[in-house]
Amino acid sequence: MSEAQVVPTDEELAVLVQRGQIEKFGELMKRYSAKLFRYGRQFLRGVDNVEDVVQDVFIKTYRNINSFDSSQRFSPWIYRIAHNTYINAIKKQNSGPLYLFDFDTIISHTVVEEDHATKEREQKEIKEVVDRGLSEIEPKYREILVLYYIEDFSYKEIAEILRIPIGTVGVRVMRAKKILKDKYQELGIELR
Amino acid sequence: MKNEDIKNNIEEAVLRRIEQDCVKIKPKSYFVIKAVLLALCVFSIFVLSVILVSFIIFSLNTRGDLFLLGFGKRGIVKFILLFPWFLLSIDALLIVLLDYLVRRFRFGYHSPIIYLFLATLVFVTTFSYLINFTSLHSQLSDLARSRHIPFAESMYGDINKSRHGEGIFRGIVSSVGDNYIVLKHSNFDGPDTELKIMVPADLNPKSFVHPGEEIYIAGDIASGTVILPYGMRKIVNSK
Repeated sequence: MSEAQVVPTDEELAVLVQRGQIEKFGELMKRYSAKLFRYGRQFLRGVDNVEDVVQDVFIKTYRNINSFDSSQRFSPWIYRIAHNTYINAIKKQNSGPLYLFDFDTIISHTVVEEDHATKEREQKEIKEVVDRGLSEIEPKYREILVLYYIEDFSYKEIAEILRIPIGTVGVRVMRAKKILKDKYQELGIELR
Repeated sequence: MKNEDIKNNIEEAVLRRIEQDCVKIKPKSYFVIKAVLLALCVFSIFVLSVILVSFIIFSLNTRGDLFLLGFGKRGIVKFILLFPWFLLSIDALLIVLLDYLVRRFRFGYHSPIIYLFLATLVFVTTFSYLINFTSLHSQLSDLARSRHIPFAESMYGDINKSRHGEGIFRGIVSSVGDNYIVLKHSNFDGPDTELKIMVPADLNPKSFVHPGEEIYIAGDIASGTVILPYGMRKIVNSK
């Protein structure tokens, strides 16, 4: 007879770390280091030492683990920390502000999330050509494409990560897709 | 595999820093205190904003400047000129600051900024309006007069100051003639003055004002203490 091994969820691991089981943090890192490194590599175009920045994300996560509310999902929470850390890294690299004011968040937008089939098809297209086009577009739109198509978050999760209304996520995804397609045309890349 | 190496490097580096005690977990109390301070900040700014807007409403009511809106184009222009825009600007900044802090909460950042701003505006205006049903500002005004609250002294003192230079006159009718009204004006910051308000020939002042009644007048100083009004309103149930 073999016992089914119960794999703790990310939220359960975070709670254990909060209770003092520091070694469980290593398990969380195993689950997220590749994802955050991929997210960082795509978002932090032009920033040196993505590895160091990802390390900073985990250090901040560890330091602030007691602010994690276990009734919420862990993934958007750690990605929020990553988002803030990556923004700071981009700001350090460029001298000016990233974007002064987020006009997208002023008014309400209707949320129309894409159907699963459309998302899958576009995901495949974008993943194939993403290395060539992403560095050319501004960080605000680059990030939303990474989170939606590459990290595969839903609008709701992205809204949590970026702390913007869900409607704004939808508008930004649409705009980002258009900008990327225009960029591909410029670069002579064809999307199927 | 390169990616695997990078992953391991990251994990090892972070664990090393944790084990060497360079990185400490912030205690739960830190976040509780931070949340409480944030909530207190939000509440304080909200209260300040409410008091400021309610003061604006109180000063408009006390001075009677709302009457100017019924005195034609000239009255409207005068109202705009006399409106406490500076206080309103400060309040607008407070509301912006309030919304900035409120967006740190989940209900704040999930709402478009315009909805948050409008909701804040509605709450502040509603509470400010309700405060004017209490005697808060009357009591603060009395306290300011007896100089117990230094910062409020100039604010409340300005409400009762003479505004002859701005063409606004307010006082008690002491006598009424065929084409004039004699007004006794109580100066907050000086001796009482008597003003003679000239009424247009087609109006009989005895038909609408009587001695002892308080009136609000907007007009021009013709000479000395003679006033030519373009708007006049009896103040009913004044303090």
